[in-house]
Amino acid sequence: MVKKSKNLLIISAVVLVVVIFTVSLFSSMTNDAEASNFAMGSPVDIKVYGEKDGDALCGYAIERIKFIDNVYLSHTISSSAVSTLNRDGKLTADKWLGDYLTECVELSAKSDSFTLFSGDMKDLWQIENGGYVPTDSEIADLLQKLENTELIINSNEMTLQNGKIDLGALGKGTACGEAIDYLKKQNVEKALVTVGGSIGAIGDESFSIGVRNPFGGQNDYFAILNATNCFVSTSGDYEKFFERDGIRYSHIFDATTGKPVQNDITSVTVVAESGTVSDFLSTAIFAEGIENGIKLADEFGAEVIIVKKDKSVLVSKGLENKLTINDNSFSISVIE
Amino acid sequence: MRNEKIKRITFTALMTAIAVVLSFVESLLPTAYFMPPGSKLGLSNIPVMFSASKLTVGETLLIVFAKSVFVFITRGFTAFCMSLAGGILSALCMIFIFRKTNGFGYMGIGILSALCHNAGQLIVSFFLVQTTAIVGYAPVLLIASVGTGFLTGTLLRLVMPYYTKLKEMEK
Amino acid sequence: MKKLITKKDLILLFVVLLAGIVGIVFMNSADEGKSAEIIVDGKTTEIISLDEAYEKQINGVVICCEKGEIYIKESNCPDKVCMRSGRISKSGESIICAPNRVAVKINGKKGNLPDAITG
Repeated sequence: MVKKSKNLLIISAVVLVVVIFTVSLFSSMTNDAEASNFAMGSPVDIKVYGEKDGDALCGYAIERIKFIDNVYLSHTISSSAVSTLNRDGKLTADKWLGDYLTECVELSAKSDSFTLFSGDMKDLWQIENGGYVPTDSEIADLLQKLENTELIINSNEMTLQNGKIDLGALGKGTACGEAIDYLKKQNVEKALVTVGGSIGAIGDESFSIGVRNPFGGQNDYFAILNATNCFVSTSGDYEKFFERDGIRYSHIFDATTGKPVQNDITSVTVVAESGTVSDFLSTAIFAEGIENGIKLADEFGAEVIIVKKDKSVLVSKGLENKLTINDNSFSISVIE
Repeated sequence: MRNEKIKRITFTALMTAIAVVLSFVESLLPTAYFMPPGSKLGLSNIPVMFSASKLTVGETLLIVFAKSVFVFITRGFTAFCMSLAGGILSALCMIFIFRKTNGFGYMGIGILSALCHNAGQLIVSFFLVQTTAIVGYAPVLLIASVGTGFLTGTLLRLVMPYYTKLKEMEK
Repeated sequence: MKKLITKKDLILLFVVLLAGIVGIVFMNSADEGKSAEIIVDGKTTEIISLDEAYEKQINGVVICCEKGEIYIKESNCPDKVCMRSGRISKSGESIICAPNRVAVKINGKKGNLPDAITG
């Protein structure tokens, strides 16, 4: 009798230990992790689903984003590549930066209204400082200077002449892309990266992405987009702007006029296969206007959602079935 | 006989001391991440369980009360209420089990004791926050009760011969 | 001496485990909530939207809402159980701080809260 109960005791102890062990292992394996932080002047949010080391992966992805910001793109850190280039006029770039700047130059060449050298324009219009409307002659001088601004890339030697480089228009998309690349290398199967208004998604299942309502607050969205394995970036005139005499001057510049863009667009959302491209296009299409903007999107095989100031919305054919509108004051038409 | 009374009081005090020490030891243990917040291993309940089976009802409740006073001193008023409510509920339950029923083994007793203790704590929480939101904690506590109940029940089974011997010694 | 494990014990074990597992599955199947109530001394003092960032100290408990999840950032209670209760976001989930008599509970259902918002 004693032997029987002893055996039972051992068996049940083992069973219970196995159960507890399996349950805790299972719960740590299907851990959905999330981390939030701040970089490039915007909130950063990383979600990694179903990975054992989810928290660590989120952390490293954030570190990657901060690295890109601190070492390459930042304006506020004086040792960053951009700051150095702007201050000294030259820089020896590493492979990553060399390839990246080459890509930026190629992208910029596709749109006349877009420029990498918006630094002087931003300074003149004091977008960060309350805003200032320059005189026509100041603008003419600016345009003249822009004409002579050039970034010369000679293998890994960068030379910047006559201007200031500003990669803010594509930087967040790039950061998203870098974080996603990192997570993919770690074999993460499902993740969502948000850097400011740029979003990157990995996974077979689609994510629900809210499309920001340009007329509402930070968390207002007028439609939900089903996004799978892609990047989504938005540029809007509501992000950074100042108003003077009833005119809104946004932070998106038209390089051909030297002024903030004035057209009937209030926001452009782009769905593309690369973070940098999606962010670049969201700015470039906005600056180019609807007709040229749509052509530009086609060139890259990207899809767009363009919201006009009258609340009418133009949507690429490929997105028609992926968009669910939840605010009827917006009227949707599909771009043929 | 006065002698007997003194012996009984001493033994009860001994059980209380053990309960208090176990309570202190428990508070030192780091919380395992998979245990729900707020639940304890219940080690300090083991002397109470023994008391429920071998001592009088009064003595058992006294041990529970004394244990709770210790909790009051170290962890505050709320913890005191929880310990008292949980302790009394589980003590009464165990007294009932040990005296009136027959079919449960030590694991079952441990689980029931843990269940009652957690139930007592949930009730106190309810009175403090006054919202049915606490119901959310119930499923996890149920599962935790199984684990901790098994542990304390098994430990009780292991120390039972020693405690009983101790009690015999007083004769 | 009594046995360690009897038939009755095993029945009890399975019943309790089952009840617990069913309860957890049920709670996890609830939809992501849209709003949450802050309840102090049994009375709802505030209703907050999970979409908006929020941080406020109530009765010694700092309640935070970030990215659709609520958690306790700080508390002056002795045990700090509420601080270890993790983050909640689904209907029916709650975190309570008993010593301070504060509870946060996620309300009702609304399907389709987006994973992220562009722009």
